[in-house]
Amino acid sequence: MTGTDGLDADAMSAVDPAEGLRAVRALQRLQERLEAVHVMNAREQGWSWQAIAEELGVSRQAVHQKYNRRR
Amino acid sequence: MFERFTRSARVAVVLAQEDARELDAREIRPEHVLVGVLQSSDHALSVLLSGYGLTADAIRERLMRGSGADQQPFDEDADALRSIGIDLGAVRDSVARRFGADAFDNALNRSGRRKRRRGHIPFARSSKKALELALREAIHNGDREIRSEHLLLGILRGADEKVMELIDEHIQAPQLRGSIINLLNEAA
Repeated sequence: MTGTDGLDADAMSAVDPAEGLRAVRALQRLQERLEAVHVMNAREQGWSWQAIAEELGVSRQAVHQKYNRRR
Repeated sequence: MFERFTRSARVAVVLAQEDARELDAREIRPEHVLVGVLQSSDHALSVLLSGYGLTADAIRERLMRGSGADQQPFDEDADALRSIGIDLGAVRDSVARRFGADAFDNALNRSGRRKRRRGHIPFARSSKKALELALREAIHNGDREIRSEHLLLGILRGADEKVMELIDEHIQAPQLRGSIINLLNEAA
């Protein structure tokens, strides 16, 4: 038990937190961008906000509020 | 630090944040502070700057044109994502193949997605430096308050590459600096 604890601590300290957190933020930005691309594509193909929301697993209002700027 | 700012200098800083948000920037950069100053400067300074073609509209227009093709944030994210095994270049290429060459870069602008309305946008290191240098310019000039003029001098002194490029399209930095100092001395 104590041995594995020591091992874990070593493994943890080897990871640079800044690098990990930067990756998470970059992933968030990538997610936002990809979501925008695919929501736009779905709308252009005539999908309803409801159908888009269901695929994304969020509420219809959430998608509509986020993307309806132009309409 | 802001307690020594004049009203118009405070407004400039607030507008800098607004502009950064409007342009979907991650940080408040010196060019956003510049746009803030250009929008809020009092009459004499405003006449001086617009005489060089330095107006909020002109700079903002340049920033909007540039923002879609800005390579640096992409490279930073690509580095970060590589560390967790994602090839951002490959993702961008696949989006480009299926949705058009600039679909990835312009996704956020084109989708009708609302811009972030809330949330704090931090000052970039280069902007903090410009604000500190503005304070130093005021002290050096024997002024008790930090005015918009000092903010501009701070931006020039900080010499961030991108903002200097934007200014240089209208007027060379040393000449601008000289005119601003003249203006401050006339007012004193």
